[in-house]
Amino acid sequence: MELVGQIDLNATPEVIWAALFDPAVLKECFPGCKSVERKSESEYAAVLQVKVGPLNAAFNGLITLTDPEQLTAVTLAGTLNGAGAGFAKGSARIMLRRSELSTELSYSADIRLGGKLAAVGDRLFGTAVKRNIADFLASFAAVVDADRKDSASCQASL
Amino acid sequence: MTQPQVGRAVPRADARRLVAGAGCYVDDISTPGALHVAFVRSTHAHAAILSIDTAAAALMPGVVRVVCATDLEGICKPMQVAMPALQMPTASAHFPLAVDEVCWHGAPVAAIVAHSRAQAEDAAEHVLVEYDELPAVVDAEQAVRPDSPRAVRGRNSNLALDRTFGIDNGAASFAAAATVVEQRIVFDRQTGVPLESRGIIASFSPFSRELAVHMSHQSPFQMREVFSDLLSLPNHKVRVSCPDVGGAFGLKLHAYPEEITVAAIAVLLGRTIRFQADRLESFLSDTHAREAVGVARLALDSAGRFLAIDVEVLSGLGAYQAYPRGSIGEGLHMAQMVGAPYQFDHFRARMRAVHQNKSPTGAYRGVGQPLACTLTETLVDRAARTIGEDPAELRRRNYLSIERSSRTTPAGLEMSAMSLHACLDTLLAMMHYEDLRREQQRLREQRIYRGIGMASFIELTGVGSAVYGANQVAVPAQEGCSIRLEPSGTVLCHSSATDQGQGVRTGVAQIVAQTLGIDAADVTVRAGDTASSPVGGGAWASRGIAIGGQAALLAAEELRGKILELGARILKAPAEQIDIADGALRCAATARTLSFAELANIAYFRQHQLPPGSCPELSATRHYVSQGFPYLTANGMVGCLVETDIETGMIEILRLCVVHDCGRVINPLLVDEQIRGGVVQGIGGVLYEHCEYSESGQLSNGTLADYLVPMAGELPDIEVAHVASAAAQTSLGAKGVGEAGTIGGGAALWNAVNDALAALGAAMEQQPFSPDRVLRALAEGARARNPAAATAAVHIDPVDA
Repeated sequence: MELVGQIDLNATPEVIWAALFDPAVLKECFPGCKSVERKSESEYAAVLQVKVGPLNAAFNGLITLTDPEQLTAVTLAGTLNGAGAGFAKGSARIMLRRSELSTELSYSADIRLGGKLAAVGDRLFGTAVKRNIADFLASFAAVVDADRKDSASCQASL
Repeated sequence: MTQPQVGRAVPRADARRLVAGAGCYVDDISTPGALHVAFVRSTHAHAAILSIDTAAAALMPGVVRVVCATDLEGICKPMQVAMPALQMPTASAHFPLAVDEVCWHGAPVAAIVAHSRAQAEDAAEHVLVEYDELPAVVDAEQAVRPDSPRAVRGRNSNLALDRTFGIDNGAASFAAAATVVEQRIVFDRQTGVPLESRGIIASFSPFSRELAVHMSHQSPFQMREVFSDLLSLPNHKVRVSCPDVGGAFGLKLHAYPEEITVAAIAVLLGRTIRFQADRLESFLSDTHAREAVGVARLALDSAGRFLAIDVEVLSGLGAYQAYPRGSIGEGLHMAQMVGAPYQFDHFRARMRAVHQNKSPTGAYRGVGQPLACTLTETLVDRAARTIGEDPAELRRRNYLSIERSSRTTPAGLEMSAMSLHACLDTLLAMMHYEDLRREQQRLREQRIYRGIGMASFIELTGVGSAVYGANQVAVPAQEGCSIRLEPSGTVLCHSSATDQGQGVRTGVAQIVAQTLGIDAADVTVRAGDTASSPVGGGAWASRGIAIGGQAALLAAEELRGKILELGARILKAPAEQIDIADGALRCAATARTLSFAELANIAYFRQHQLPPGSCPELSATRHYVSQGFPYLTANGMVGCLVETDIETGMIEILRLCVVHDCGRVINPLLVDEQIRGGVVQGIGGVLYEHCEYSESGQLSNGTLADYLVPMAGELPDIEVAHVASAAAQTSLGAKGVGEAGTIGGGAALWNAVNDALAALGAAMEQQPFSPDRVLRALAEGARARNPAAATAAVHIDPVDA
């Protein structure tokens, strides 16, 4: 499954870059995310609860960050494993482009599904993936928004 | 006077009950205290199993046992398909639960046994299987190459069978032919999608060591042998009962790993164990069908007569062959039956069947015959276009003429009593063929692209024991009927022919009623239980009425003789002076009558009124099997009118007409419904149905949201007419009809679509004809017609499939 998209964020690349590597932000923004733990400089462990159609299972993931270009681009690669429910393997390149008033975040991902995740099919699962990404980006945009009223703590922690 | 029962449109006796929701399917059977099974399935198309960690799952609420292959060692044998008569180079044997390797996405790896299905499913998510992914071979054409990865480790080759039919390829005919045409067709995988998914309840008593099974299946006696053999139980200690079955279509003819596992767990635990497949796992684990590539060449002389046919077939089997009947029937039928309705002198066909990392394939309505028919009939249409001849006339000139005779064809098919010419004439009149052709031409000027297609088809029905018996597969080929007169004067009948919705029991009742001079409503027919039915095949190869009906006729005739004999004694008149009608005996000379009820009451409760030594026997059991002939050949013709939207690639079926000859028609209502249902499944294959696999072998459309089936709104009224050439081999004279519509319906639709596209230089060669494939064919047609202008002219940019 190939996914591409972009969003304009009302924040500087510096803020976005920091938020992207912040386990707390990722956990807050990703739908169904139960935990995100930074294992090393470039490795994150995550637990996701996925509920799509006939499927409702916890997935354990190990995500590795590679090829970082400071404030510009990074690749996330890894596997989400849901035991009997199947797996998702893939990678996503995330790119930031600074403009005058905002920063454009664009991504292109290639995901390979296995097991029940694959069998459930694109109509159900593909739609769910796209919705989750949209939800994540909306939450993420709100977290990093420079005009956000309660963003002080978030900004402060960055 | 009772009206004739045979030939009457009697509605199915149980239609009202089933429609009202009062059916009793496997999942409706209550079994207090039973344990439920959920399966852990392979998430990979091909992988080695490094470890299975069941510890966490075993601690989940409600879990009684987590069962892996090792737990069933010593209880269950592997499922081996050998077919010695075919001398297959690659043996197919696999254990119901994966041992150290999974070879298709969805293969069962472990079974969770719990107090509820929900608990079992929750626990299944906690079984950790460590896989080492292996290369998956998905495409059949790749799998057949010698350097291909093996679908199963340790096999020398992926080739399951390489078989040639016919000894004379007619090379001289091809060399001397005025015209040679070639046609290639590709069928994608589809599956049966019965409304009721597969299910089983298995109970084992450790005291009597008896296994009792309820399951949704077509052939209870086959399954008794399967359980007996694999679980090492004497066959008289196994009882298999099939309650109402909500559709089967061939896929419920196999013994699946899941059902074998459930029965083995029942033996292991000495408990009642049940399993019902959900829709997702049905798509993953029901046998698939149809996947094949076929190429045929036809040589014609200058007068447009067929000289020789040469065929190449490649059939995709999945990782293993379906147990116990194997998976090679589709390819064998497809290869051998090309050209079946026609007269020609030379035939050669080569069929190769290969293993790949997909779910096993198996029987599905028509088994190879729809593919053979499609390859033949698209080939004939191509020949007609090539030599500029009307396709109806080309067929007429080349049909076999065996209305009242039989013939062995160069392909080795034994054909008898067929009405090919009569079916064609009836179809052309029914469709107003000439008018349709004129209208087609007229509409082309308005850029409306209609197509007219037709297909002649042959169905081999009521197949005897030569296929499975010769291959040492314990599948009963005869059918039986046990019949008795009840004290009420009605008749109770146990038939071995099983009913999955066809209404075969109603047909059996009509045959019995006609023979005994009573109304069909006064005949109760039961079936589907090895404890009470006579031994018989059940439902396969369209045998219910053709063979099961013949057994019922023989049993009813014997009972009639016994009723007459006893009646003569009671009425004190010679049997030849007694008539039977309206459920009573009548002596013409004395004008005395005796109702069946009165006769039965004397026979069962007042024997003292009879002379000593005349204990009445008001029952009979008879069997019938195709012997001296391999099968009964039914034939027919389908005509189809479509309109193709060249902007969207959508195909609308405007008319669909079927002329069928199944010999003597016992029940025109049910025969017509069999034909219509069959046609709908043929349409489904051509337009919609496709088990889609990713490059890595993941089935990616396992729901009814993504796997499309034809819906009522997309279908035309299907018009049906009959020609009746009674089967000479049986006194009943009926042939099978169950698969007819599927065999010819799809082929006629192929031809209709290609007739529409021909005007644009386009042709379809792969089903299903999804809109994107139609658009791509149109774009290729446009490029072929005008290579220079093609890029400009093709305004459609078809998406990649």
